[in-house]
Amino acid sequence: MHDSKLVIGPSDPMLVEPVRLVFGIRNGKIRSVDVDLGYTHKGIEKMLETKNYVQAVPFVERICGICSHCHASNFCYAVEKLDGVEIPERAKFIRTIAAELERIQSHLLALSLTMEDIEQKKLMRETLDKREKIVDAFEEFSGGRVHHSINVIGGVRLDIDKNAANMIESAASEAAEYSKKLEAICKNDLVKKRLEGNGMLSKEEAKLLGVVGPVARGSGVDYDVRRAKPYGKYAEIDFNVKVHDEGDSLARTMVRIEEIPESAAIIKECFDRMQPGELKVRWGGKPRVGEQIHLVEAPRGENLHYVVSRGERTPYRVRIRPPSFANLQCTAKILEGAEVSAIPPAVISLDPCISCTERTAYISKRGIAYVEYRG
Amino acid sequence: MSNTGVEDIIKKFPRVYSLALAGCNGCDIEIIAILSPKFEQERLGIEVVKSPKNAHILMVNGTVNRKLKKHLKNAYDQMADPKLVVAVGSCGISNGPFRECYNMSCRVDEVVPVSIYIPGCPPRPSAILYGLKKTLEKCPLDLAPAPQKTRAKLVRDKKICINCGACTLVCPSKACYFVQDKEKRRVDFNLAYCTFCAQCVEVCPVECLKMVNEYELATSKKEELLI
Repeated sequence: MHDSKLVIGPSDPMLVEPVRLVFGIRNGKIRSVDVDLGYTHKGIEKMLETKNYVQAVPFVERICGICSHCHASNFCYAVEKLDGVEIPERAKFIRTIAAELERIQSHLLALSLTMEDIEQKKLMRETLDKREKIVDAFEEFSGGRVHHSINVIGGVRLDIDKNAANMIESAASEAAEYSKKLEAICKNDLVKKRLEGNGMLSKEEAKLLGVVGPVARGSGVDYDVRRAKPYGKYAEIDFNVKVHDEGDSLARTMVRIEEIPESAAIIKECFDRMQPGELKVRWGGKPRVGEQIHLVEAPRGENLHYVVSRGERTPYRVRIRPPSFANLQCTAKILEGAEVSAIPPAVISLDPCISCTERTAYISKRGIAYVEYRG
Repeated sequence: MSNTGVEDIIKKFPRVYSLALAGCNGCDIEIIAILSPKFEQERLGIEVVKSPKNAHILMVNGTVNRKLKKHLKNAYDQMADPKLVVAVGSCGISNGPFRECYNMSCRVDEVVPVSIYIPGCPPRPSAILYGLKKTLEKCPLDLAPAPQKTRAKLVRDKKICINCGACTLVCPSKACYFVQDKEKRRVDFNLAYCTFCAQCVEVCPVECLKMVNEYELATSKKEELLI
């Protein structure tokens, strides 16, 4: 049989962001996948070396629009850890609430895109509608629907007032209720037949490839940064880490669905225990000489920020390793030997975020930023 | 735009193709949010299509880097005449906070002619619909107001402002900068560069800056964004 190639991208309705996927096909089965990145590379890490620490926080937030709070809070945590700044209790609670709310929002978006790809338009719209409630609560609380700008080094800038607290709690509990419905829908054949057995990733392969977040937990790897290396308020809060052993697209989707009520419960507990108090401590603007790594659990998995300081007003070097960077590499593994129709649900079940991923670029002789993974 | 009568069809049933360039995803999801039942772009007759070949309006968000420049031109060339381009977000207008990054090649309006600029980081879905209304003069008149706290527009009271430049030190994207005006030195704000983070509001010693919730910013002249 002839070998052929299927090229998806750079702009494609399946993945809204620009990325090019090149599938090598033989006998109607996928043999290889090349992920051609570099379309959204901007050079944020280099730019961060020219910004002072106050300017850097909103700039880091603009790495990604879906997990903007995770990046901003992670950068703040890293600098605070480096300089030994202890942030007030209330700030820790507010950061935890924002992170969990963002997790619900991101998971609902991923689920709605999954529903779109298996041609369930109505479910997609319903899920998007539930997500709107969360985003509205965010706007009421912080003033921004997507980029919240609540973090500064030394605490948070904005307090949660009563109105916003009510909106956040009701939106979270509504999403938790809706997740029960989604769970029931995923047992239905309409959804199950499209997702079950699609994009298999075994536990050993998941460990070898180093995948993180819901992708790893869908393959039976019991790893969550919130429990392994607690930060913020997670050490004092009791929550379950949802793990599925099947390793297919359905398992990854189910992990996301089941995480929504857990996040809602964490938000509720935070509101119950939160006491009025200081929001931020004063910080000089120059951390001490040294380097520090901090990890947070972003909606898509482990997010790493590495900050090197030489005691100046600007960071010497910032390295960011977002979760999609790890997760995108298993595309070749999970699609090997699959049919072409299996591509959209499998790729979407990884929930790839391209603008997060594009941190590194290899400049070839022709001067084009080009990053390539071969599976 | 040639006068062929196709304009009427565009005005009544515009088909929009959303092209994501090297942005942060924020404008992307706000455009996806237009599809949700809360905003429901279809009641306005706007249809979101999946190929530029059958689109009338190209909605561009994000910055233009070296690898994407050719792709943007290609998408624009595929569209049939008459065609309009709408630039969404600070990145779409001026490359926003990333404009000094080494990988930026040019702005969107240097590659394709842009008819409407919609500032915001990212603009609310209602603001995007307002921008489309400006393009088409076809939108319900009662757009829902944004909550009081929404950071949608930066206003400055020039009478109070002492041009001290405290805002220039905290701005992540250099949207406020010093301008030498004869013998006096003043600070200019450009909303095309703004990330709407409101850090300048916090540091202002005389409180001349304010973030307000008016999101009707869409304009066809970039100069109007200078405050």
